[in-house]
Amino acid sequence: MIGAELLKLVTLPSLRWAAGLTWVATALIALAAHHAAPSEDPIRTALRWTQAGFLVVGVLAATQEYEPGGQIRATLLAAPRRPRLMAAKGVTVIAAVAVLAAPTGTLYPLSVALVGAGLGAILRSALAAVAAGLILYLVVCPLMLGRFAGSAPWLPDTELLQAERGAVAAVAWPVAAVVVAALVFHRRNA
Amino acid sequence: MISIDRVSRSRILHEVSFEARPGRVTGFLGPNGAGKTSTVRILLGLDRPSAGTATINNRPYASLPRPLTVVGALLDGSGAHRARSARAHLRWMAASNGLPRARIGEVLEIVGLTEAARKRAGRFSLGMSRRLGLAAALLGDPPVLVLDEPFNGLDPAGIHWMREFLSRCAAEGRTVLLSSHLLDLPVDDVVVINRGRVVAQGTAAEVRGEHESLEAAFLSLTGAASW
Amino acid sequence: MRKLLGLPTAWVGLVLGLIAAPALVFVNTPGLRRALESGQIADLGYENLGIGLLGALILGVVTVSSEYTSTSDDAPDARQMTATLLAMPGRSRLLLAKGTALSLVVAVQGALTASATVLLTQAMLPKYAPPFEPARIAAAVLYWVLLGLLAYAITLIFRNGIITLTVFIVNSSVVSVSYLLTKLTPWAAYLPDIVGAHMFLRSNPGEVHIPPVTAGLVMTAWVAALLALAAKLFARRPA
Repeated sequence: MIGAELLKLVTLPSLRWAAGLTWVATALIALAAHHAAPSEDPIRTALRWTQAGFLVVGVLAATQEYEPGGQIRATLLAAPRRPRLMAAKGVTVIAAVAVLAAPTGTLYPLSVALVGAGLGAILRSALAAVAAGLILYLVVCPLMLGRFAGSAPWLPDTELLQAERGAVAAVAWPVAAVVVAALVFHRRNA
Repeated sequence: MISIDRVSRSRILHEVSFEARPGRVTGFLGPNGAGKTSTVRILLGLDRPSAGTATINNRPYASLPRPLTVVGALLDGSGAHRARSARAHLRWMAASNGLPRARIGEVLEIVGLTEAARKRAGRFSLGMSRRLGLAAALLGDPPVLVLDEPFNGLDPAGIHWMREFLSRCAAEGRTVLLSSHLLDLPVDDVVVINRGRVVAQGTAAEVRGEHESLEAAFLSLTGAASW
Repeated sequence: MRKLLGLPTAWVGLVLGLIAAPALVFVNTPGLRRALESGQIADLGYENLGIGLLGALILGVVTVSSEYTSTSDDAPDARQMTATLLAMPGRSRLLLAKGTALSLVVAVQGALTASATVLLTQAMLPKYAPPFEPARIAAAVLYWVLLGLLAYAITLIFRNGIITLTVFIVNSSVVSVSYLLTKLTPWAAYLPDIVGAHMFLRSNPGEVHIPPVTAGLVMTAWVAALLALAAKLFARRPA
């Protein structure tokens, strides 16, 4: 089952594009950041933007099932036990993103991608999930941080800015997103 | 062997019961919106009934360890992501149930898609999509086939082929359940559903009864004669 | 011609965008009070308008992407675009109609939110708020419309809303990538989003100062160029 889910991920052109673009963008921005602020870790700085790419990868991995063509029905016919299917999907996304994120040397992209996958599975629309995820990470989080500095330890992206304060939130958010997605998926008619 | 036992779903299905036996083509007939697709989806574990059970060889679909080797199902759409090629789609499906890769070429051959195997599913015509769906259903060489409106989107040659194919499957001893709003079908047994209730069932001859044709019987049973 | 936007999917997006943008601004404004105690912000109120932009962006994307969404599981190629083109075979007129409708909706939305935000800021923080200047509001609205059109053009070029949405939201976040690029070359200040902001912000981050009118012209040129490219591609492509 995990093999089948991996096959699904690697034979999806949009996912390959998203992964490739994320890599290129991370490298380019890291280069620019290195020029602009040599004292900071350029990859972490670059990730502040390219985390969006990992979010998109997570979203696409989940929403591929719901795009026209009705793949979700084929998936459920092949693997009707939903909890096992969810587990297989989770393991596959984690493995794939871990490989993708390896060059950055941090686990933070994994956290973003899983939040994206959770949102994708809940909303079942790539556009809606990408919009929601990006607004959460790039608009709501900075706003919250700016207005209520005390909220930092609870925000999903603090890990990226201050590694020592955000670890718990960086784990809790994806876990929450995935758990909600699993519950919704288990109850929903396909 | 498929058994549907007093399956209900709020407002859509009311205690639907029937069986489909091996070696026979069972036609599950009814007008649009009668509850055919809902029943099929419940049988395949995609939807949940509010009451009743639906089993295949005495087991609910969701408890089958390798379901594709027991049941082949064709629903609307091909089930393939439009950016994936037909072959890539069948490859993951085969992998999910531990089926040999060699089987992919065989089913593509059966449905006549060998030439189009590398084409993206999104570029398929309606008829080709249905063929790809059927290829996926046949991957595990299943003894039970469940087909929802299999004739939709097929051209005359495709319809002819599908009729022959279904009869051949039954002759091989498979259980074939096909839902349709068409009446001119090579069916052995018939279940007629209307507004979520089974209104007649039996062999094709029994259901036809006094009427001059299955069509006349169907129209009088479903009250559609007022058209 | 504007009937096109009566297409249900487009409407859902439009209504969502209309509600989302003012809501974001509204939520954001009261929070500003806290930030004020520490420092002065010359462009108070006007800066908030950057957030409402998301509404314009989403509108621009939805205008196109709803057309390319498949309407049928059985025939994934059956897109609304096909029906739209059958109804309106003149492609350039179709694009014009859509663009006009989009501009009007964004303009109305922008004018309402922008005035509301600035007035709200004045009402709540009379000591700090800058005076109500219709010209600057107009410039801000123009910026929104141009950005909405930019999103529209780019979505049309890629036929994929996700790319546009990602690029634009990422770019309109904390510090924009374009701004980062200005560190590498001053020419980056002429990228459409930065140059556009010069139209209504006075205390702009960045070393280069561009007068508002020039800024407006440069941004308009960007939008016009991308729209022209989009139109050219659209006219050639099979639906």
